[in-house]
Amino acid sequence: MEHAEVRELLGAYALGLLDHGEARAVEQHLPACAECRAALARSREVADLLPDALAEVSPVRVHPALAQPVLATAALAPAAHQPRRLRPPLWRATVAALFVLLVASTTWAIVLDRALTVARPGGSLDAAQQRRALDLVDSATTVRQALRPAEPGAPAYRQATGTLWTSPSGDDVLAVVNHLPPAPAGRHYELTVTADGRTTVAGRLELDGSGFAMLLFKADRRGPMYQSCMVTLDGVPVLVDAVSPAGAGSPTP
Amino acid sequence: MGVEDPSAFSAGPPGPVVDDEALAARVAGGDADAFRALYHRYVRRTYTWCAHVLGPGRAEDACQEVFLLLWQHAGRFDPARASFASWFTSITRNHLGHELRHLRVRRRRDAGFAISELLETAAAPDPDPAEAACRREDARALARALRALPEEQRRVLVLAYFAGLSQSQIARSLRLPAGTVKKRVSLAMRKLRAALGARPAEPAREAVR
Repeated sequence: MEHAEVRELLGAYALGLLDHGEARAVEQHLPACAECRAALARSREVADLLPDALAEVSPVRVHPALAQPVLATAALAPAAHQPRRLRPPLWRATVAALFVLLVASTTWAIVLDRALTVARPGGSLDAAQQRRALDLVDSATTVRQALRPAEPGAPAYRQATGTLWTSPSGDDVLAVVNHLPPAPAGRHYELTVTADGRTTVAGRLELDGSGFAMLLFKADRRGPMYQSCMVTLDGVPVLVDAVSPAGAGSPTP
Repeated sequence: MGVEDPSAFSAGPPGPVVDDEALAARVAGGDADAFRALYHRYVRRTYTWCAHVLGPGRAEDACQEVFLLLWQHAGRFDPARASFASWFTSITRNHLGHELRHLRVRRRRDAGFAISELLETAAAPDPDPAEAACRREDARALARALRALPEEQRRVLVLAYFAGLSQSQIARSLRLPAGTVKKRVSLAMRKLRAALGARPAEPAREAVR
């Protein structure tokens, strides 16, 4: 193919639009033509920027809660890719993938199930707990309750989010929080649930460096129906569900 | 910085800005903070892309899957062959291409038409002098250039890039000869290149795709 013909096709080539024969002709021409290589580099720059241009004009906004399962990957497996330690990274990466899938999607049930069979025990939840958490999150009947800042205006908790999963047929409950500021020394975040008018502390939420924590616990009955649930710091609500009363004020972390 | 903060491409806490390539190298070593930084820089364009192409119902999962790929495969990124933005764009586009294969051509075409219309009718973003020479300003310049394209050129380009349609699928969808499809794409890309043309080109790297 002649230089001028190739030059005409570079834009389409950068978009992946050429058929196999045309693409091959372009690739054969490129090594000997610096001008076309430079033009292709520019076309690729344009192509790589197209999603950014779309984002510039799009009214779509990202919900902050999207970060929770994504960042859980890194939060739960900080050493997933360290070189020269082949076995631990392998299972850590699997566990990391598992947790992203776990909290991200119910459509990946089969993938999740396969991942579980190769995951080695370790991390925050052991294999049995992982299976319980998966069963809970992956069930079509699971009830998912979002937790939002008790005082949306409080800067420290502006990005904080949480989710509580309960099952109408089982007694496992899973809570995940993210973007909480570190608790001051000696103070702790706790998950509080209210059922039958009685409020109990379900457990303590131990944050990692990114403000992420996960808590799996057993309810006192199958199919728990919580009137409200919240995350508290020294008893003061910081994250609440839609029906919980707002706290008396967000504490200073 | 909020995750939906559109300035996430370039902004960050006060102090030296770490470039994407250095962050990617740290992610390859299992650095969760670097992963978080890249997430915040790229989540808006990735999520927006997924939402417009696959629809809001599938966008969250697809976006999460793309970032999982980043976490798992950051070790394969080679800065000598491509910029991080280019490599990550390839990952995203490949993943979305895989997802799109499950959708009917007509639905993909309609998604492409909607994107093309948005690019034409949405308010053209103003240049921001404070952000000159950064990626965000390039994106705004490109958005303005896309808006200025004739509809027939923008549509063909969007159907190829965002809807992942092949030359023959576009030709059939728009009832055009295949040669016309290529010609329109070439014209559109030439105009878009020119819109970014005032800047020096990125250093040429080896072909990676």
